[in-house]
Amino acid sequence: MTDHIVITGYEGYIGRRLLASALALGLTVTALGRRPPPPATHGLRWFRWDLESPVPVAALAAADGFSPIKALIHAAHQWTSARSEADDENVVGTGLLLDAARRSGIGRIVFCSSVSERMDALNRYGRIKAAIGHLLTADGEISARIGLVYGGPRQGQWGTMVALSGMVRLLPMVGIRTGVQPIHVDEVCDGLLRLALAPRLSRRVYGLAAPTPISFGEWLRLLCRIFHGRRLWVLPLPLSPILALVHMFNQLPLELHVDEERLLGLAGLPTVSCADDLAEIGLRLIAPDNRLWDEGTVRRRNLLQEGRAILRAVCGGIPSPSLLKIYVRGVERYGAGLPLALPIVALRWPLLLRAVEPVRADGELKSRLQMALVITDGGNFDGTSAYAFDGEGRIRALAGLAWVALVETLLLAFRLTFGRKGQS
Amino acid sequence: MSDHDVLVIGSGPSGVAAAWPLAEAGLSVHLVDGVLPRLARPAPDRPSLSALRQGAPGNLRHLLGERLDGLRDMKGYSPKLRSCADAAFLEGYHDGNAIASVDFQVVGTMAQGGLSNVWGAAASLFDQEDLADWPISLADLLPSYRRVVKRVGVSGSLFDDMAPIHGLDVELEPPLSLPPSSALLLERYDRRGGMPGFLLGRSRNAVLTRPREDRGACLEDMGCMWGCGVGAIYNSADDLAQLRSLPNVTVLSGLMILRLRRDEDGSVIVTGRTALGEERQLRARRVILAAGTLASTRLALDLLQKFDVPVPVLNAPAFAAGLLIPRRLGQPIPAKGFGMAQLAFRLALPGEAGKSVFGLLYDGASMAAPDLAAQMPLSRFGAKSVLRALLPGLLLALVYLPSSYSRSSASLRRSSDGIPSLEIRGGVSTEHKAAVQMAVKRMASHLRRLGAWLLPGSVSVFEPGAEVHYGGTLPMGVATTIHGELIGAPGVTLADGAIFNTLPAKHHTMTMMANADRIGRHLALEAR
Repeated sequence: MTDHIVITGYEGYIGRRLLASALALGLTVTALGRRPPPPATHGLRWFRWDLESPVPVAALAAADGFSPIKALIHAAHQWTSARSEADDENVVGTGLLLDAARRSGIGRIVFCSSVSERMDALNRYGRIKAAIGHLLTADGEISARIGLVYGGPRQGQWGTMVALSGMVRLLPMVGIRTGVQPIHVDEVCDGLLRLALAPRLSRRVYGLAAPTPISFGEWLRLLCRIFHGRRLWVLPLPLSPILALVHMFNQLPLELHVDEERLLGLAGLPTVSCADDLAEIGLRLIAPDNRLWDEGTVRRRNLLQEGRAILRAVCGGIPSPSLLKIYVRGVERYGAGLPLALPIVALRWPLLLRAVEPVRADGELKSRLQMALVITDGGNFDGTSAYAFDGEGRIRALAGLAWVALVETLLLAFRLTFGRKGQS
Repeated sequence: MSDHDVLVIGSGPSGVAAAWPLAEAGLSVHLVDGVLPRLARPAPDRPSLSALRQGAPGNLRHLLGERLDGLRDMKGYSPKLRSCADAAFLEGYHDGNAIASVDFQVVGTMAQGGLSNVWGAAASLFDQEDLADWPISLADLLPSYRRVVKRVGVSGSLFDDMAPIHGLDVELEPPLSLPPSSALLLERYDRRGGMPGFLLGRSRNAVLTRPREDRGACLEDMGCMWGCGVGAIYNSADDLAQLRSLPNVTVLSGLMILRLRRDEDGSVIVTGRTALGEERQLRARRVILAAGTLASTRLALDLLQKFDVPVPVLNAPAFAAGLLIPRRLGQPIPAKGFGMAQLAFRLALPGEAGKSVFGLLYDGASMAAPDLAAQMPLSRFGAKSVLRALLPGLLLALVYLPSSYSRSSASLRRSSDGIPSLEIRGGVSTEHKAAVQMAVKRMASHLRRLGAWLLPGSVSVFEPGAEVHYGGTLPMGVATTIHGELIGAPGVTLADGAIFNTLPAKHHTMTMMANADRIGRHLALEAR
């Protein structure tokens, strides 16, 4: 019988993917939430629950077709509260959930926390997460401190960041030097399931975040390049006066409201050391710019334009849309994924690319030209073969070689002078 | 924890070769193999390579793979790993086996069947001279050679000058047909009646030329670099499928072995990790390590708790070179032929007593032309145009030196996660450079006389390990007994390249399998 886990918060940005991942792994799942989860073919049952309600007794009890519960992943979070921090629904509700889980003998509880978890965090969210972290006292109760989650549907904070990065060319922003530790939503799910199922864990707190932080400003610039196909300039703003201004602004009787909580969260974001944590559970993260390849349409349009030029430089003629698609998919999957900053003249007259192909140095431009060569191994764009299968005769072959030698000799001076590695 | 007579770790050629005699002797054999499935065979009705390059329907799907894995940048690796294997094939090997390397390219896979999924099928046997420094003789290996050759299916000639080098006392399938460039070279060589210090003949290939029940005969469609659709090229995953049909053989997939320990009762406890991170233990009276030289070495050194003591890693340093037969310029490109090595040669190194290099010649038309173009300092358009002219007469030589020119080593290091890692440092002897230069010069001179000219600037010397000919970390008679049992760890036997005493320039897969068969037979006899 397959492993059985409980998931709370499956309606949220992370939880939805987590539930799908668990089912795809063949686990059986008890889902606790307000609304029924999407129907699954097998191994899923649902109990109505939220952080303000007691846990249904049957939810954590043994049931036919389900093995004993191995772990509980607690991803539910209530974002709004009228209560004080000590009485916050998240803290109280999690306490009740923990009690019920302990009574049922569940040996592993994984709490979805945040890298901002600190008792002295600037924002309430970080302090609430820290308060819940203190409730995890028994063996097998683990806190997963999750970094800046990106990827998937543009919801919540992720959707806001993508929109923000493309709003203007010059973005005034606070905290742009703050280090953020991005992690893809699928990697978070993978990490949570590993934490839930690992037979033994050596620590109580695990960081699920990129071990090497990048600045928030750099992160916004990356998103702009990928999703909006252009460069973004970010203007640093001092935090304190901005907070005062935001506070005053929010007092005005306007519909627009600026979320102070998010600004505070960003400003007070600590960096967690998590390389060892990830290594222990065998989770390898992929660089965000590689993961985001399928999430930017402008980027893809620019890649198509680049592909047209690169394929023409290698093969001459006009590549078909299907070949262009193969080029784009190849760059997305096995290249840097972003369009190269090629000169506009090279996009218009692709033959010029032959004059800037570096002689020896490797680089993205060379590897994309090589990729185009591999694609055209299957034939030229006009349907002819790249090779003379029927034989072209010795004289013609020798004349062809002499012509190439002449052209390449002439090109050499340009390539040595103007050869470029090509950067995204 | 389950008990077995014998537990074999690894389903590559040596693992299955060791498992066969044990299974046939009626022992309960449990074979643990990698976490990845074998490479899928291409469609058996895949058009020939020339048809694909002339726009046959679905050509890019066949040439690049469904997921376009053929577009990966695999510079420095064998071209087969780009054209034939998917991206996942090499993934996780280093981390999973806790192997780190400096100046040494580690190539390995956790796929069922190991590297036999992508091998070049070169199937020479070692001769008495090759085994000079081994504690066993050719007579000890010959019965196993015969059995393995028969099971694998090897084609070639017993009647040309290279036949004694490849091995004579075995039963072969008829040779494959030769494409025009190779046929021309061989014809000229035969007309000269041989050349001093240089032998040329057909290559010996683990390829069927007659169909069997589960494998077809070679279609000679030139597309071998993209995988074999009919299974003519031997893959130990095919053998595994037959092995597991025996009632006393079980196969466990997806367990990454972390460590071996000996129990008080004399049995061996093997701990592995599943894909979900769960640890699992197996127990057996006898464990055969056949996980590939480096993975087996790490497990063996860890069992012996032999930290920070370097052991040698023998490898056969190699280089590649392009050759052109000017007479073939402008001629039609062959549409039919075997797509990997068609000819083999042996070249004596004068002044290097008894040392020789071993080379294979590939027809350029069967190679992935863009990989050849990648070596040219021309623009991509220029390289493509040059290849168009050269392809009919292009040959690629892959040349190997014996392991006496290698100076690589491996050490077991402690690590914070409790799983020690194997650190490999690559190196070559001080004589290596001169030997390569001499080999290039003499090869060029001999082949020129046969009408093939070395292309200037085409020689590319491989990083140690990139040739994937390595072994010799725990040699027989030194670190293991002559039957592969690890000294200091009764019950644990090594059966792969790790126990080789030397590596000649020749390909070692058939010897690795024969030696594993010999060890398996010995253990079966002992158990009886």
